[in-house]
Amino acid sequence: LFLTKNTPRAWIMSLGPDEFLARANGSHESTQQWEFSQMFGEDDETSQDESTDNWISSLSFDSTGAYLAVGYNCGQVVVLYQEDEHTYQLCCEFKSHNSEFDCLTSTEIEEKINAIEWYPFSGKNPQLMTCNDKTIKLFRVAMPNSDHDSGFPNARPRRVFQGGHAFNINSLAFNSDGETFISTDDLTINLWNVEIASEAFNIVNIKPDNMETLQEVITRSDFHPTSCNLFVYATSKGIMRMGDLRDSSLCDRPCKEFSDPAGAMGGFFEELVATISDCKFSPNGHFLLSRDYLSMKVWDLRKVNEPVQRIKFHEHLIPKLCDLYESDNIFDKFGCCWSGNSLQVMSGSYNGDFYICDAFQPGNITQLTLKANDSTWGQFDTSNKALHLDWHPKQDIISVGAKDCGYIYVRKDNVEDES
Amino acid sequence: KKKPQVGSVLSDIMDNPFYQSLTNEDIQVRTDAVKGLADFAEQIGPQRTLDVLLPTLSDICIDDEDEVLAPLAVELGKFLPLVGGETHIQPVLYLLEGLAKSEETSVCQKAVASLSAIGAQLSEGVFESHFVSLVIRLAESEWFPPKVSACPLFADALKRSSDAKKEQLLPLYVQLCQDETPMVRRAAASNLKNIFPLLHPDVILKYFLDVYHLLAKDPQDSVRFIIVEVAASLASTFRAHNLGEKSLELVKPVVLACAEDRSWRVRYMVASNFVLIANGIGAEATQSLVYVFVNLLKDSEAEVRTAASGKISGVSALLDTQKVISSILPCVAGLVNDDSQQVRSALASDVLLLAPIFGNEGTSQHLLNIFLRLLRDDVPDVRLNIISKLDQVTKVIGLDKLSEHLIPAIIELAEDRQWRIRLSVIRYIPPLAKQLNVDFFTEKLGDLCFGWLEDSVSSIRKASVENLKDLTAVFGEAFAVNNVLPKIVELSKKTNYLHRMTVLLFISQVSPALSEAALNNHILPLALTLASDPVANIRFGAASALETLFPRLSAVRHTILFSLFSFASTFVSHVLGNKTKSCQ
Repeated sequence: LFLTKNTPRAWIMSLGPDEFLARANGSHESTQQWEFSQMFGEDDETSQDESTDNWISSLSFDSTGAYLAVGYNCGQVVVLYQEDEHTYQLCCEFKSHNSEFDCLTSTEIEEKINAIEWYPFSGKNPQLMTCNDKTIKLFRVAMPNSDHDSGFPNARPRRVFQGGHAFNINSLAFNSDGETFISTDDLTINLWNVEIASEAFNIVNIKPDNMETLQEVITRSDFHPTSCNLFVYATSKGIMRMGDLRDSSLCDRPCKEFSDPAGAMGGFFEELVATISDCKFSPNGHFLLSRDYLSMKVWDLRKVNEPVQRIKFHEHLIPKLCDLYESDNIFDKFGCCWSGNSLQVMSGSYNGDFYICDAFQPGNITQLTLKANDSTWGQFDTSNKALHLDWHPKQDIISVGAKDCGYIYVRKDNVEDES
Repeated sequence: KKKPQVGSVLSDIMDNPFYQSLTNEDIQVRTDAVKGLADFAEQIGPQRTLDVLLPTLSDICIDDEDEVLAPLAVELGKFLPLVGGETHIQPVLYLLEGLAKSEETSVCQKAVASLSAIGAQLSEGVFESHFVSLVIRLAESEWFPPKVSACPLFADALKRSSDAKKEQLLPLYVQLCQDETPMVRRAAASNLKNIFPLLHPDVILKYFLDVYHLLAKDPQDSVRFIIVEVAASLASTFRAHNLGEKSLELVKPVVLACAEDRSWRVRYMVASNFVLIANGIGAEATQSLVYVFVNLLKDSEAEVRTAASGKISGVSALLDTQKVISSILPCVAGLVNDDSQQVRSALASDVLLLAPIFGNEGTSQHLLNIFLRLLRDDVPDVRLNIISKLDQVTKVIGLDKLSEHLIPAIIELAEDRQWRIRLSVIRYIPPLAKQLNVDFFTEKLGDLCFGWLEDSVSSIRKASVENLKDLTAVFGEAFAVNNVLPKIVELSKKTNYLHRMTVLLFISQVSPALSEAALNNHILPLALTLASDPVANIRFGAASALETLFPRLSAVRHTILFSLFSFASTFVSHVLGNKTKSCQ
């Protein structure tokens, strides 16, 4: 019995890693068909506005998939609500962060929303957390009381977590205990209690004594979906380290280190393309996904010295690496994500392209292009990059953000679909 | 808290400014107003409270911000008499039930506390029909915040329930202990310690045995973390019913499992609750668990060792001395050299409390070296913790054996670079002085005490003056006059005006403790000299000092007046105007 898109998720979640792999490897799904469903965001093609204020900087479904939050460079956050199976409507919109001036360093702290994460347990009023480079904020989306007709949904600030980071925050992740979360900047990871904004515990610190010897920064981190003690962080050296909160109060010594020396491309650009731009645990908790510049890699948590799959969908970029380096595009940070059933993974690219791949079936890659990009047909457009994307946790609905537009695609396979 | 203004004739509440401020646009106005709600309700009387006030509060509860709702929940807890008694309490309970469903923990907690307060005052019939049904509704909600709120209220409900009603409530609570969200399981688990004492052991076994073991193996660390306290509570409940053996049977496996849990936080809980557990299972059973405690003292995680170190004396008190010497003391010897300063610090705070247990000979033989070693620790905090608990030791063996090491240790700390450490040392001087005779003290520590008067940090100078005041109380006036005053006089002649300010501080602080003779002969001349000081601040301070001295110096009033008037410059006299008036 192989796993397909129709297999009940609860059953999939109950499988151990080996059983899952056995069933996932054997399945041969028919070609997927994904259909553009809707677009949201600034649709002003006539605008000559060069500003990137309205560009999307982060995107996230909540744990039920009913809500989709989108963060922008200008500090705005838009929350969409799933009205019916394929339509998302505007729920509420608010200014999450304002730009600030840091007196100590005489620099501007941008209002750009670097990360959005939803509180993992849905309540009547869902909660979400946003951050810019330095400050983390918790909001509650207050839904109007059904007894009383007044009011629209609105987002209320609940808590502000600041002063925890000397460097720029790149990710947030909630613990499955519903009580704590981690925030990560270039060199440190802090553990916070959701209720307490006045203190945080520093659990990882890779800052060297002498900053001039700095070789490695942390790029992303994630908490395990069900194990409250496991978290992972990825670095610019292309490795991922797993920490176990149970081991000790300071998790500087990782319990596992995932690296893929055999997968190295070699050459002048090796170090730059090896940087991991995003990493995510699979929803079933047995695997890890990492996105480096040229590929995605799927890892079995039990095997640290090489990934289970190397999904190469960016080979066409290799001859262009020089140009991409000159234009700084080689430093672009692409996000990646899993499907809700842990069978597929997705990541974005240039030209408005994005790729949906079977995580355990080598070669089964579907390429899609964001609608409304036909105008750049024929050219290689590095400005149109699908950096931010997310997959509905319970249905085959995906959302992709590129520039100032967000897109929603829905899977619609042919009816005659063998399982 | 703004007191509501209510006239003696209240024509229309709607026009009342307080009432209007409840719905003011400015959140600060609303928050302040809400804090005076109970007073307002009292003044307008039960009828208007029910007809007008509560409906308005209902609107507020639906939509307002948490900063307003939390104090509102507090005030509602006082409303039972304000609505005319329990026949009219339903609307208030309804509002509190709504607030207890809030996602904001501060609002929930206040609502729960208010519900509890009201519930305690309800008669049995109303309690059952209104309160218990409310708790059941919260527990059966589909969302997690009401379920979390329900947990503490179950104890109230069960306290007053018949056995039959308990049978209805307990299965609900067991379900909460197994809820799919960790937040609810945590709340349910942590309230078990309030519920167990209310139940007969047979009832506990019937309903909670399975769930207790499930919680002990919960995949969430934060839930297993709580089970240690639950075990302790279980143990004491069973012992109270003379079921010590059964208690041990239930508690021991859980404690052992938690003491070896992979998560250091769970082991930490065992360490910090060890005395509680030991009290729960009894001295005899504790003897068999000593090895568990010893393992915690040697745990790989410093936080766990710190927690265990703080409980050494508590645990040792329950064991016989021989056991302590053979099992625990060897560990302590190792902990004295622990890498982590927090461990050594915790050890230093606690280990001295072993002295009364060991008695004179035992302390000298087994503990003295440990104390001395900690007294020489690199980290000031550790040394301070020893010094602060020294009275425990000196009660047992006297100070002589320690003074040889103690005095240099104190002197070293007193000259530490960090002023907060110097400050902490000063605070221990008076208690220490009580155990020394005055000559010994003056010889060894006198210079130190006077040196502090000239410290560069003003907080130190202030503390040192207080110190001298306390020392005067310990050693008596003779000490002050013979030993301290000469130094003070010396200080008053220093060129730096800050030193002379310290003298003034001394005068105002210490004078109340001195006799009139001392004041006349020694203090007054000092004050008068400073009253003609070239620095205006000093003169001003001197005048203040003279003002405090005045009531006790009847014989020389005119001398003072003369002195004051003799140097009146325009500015100074202006300022001293008040002083001279009071002198007159």
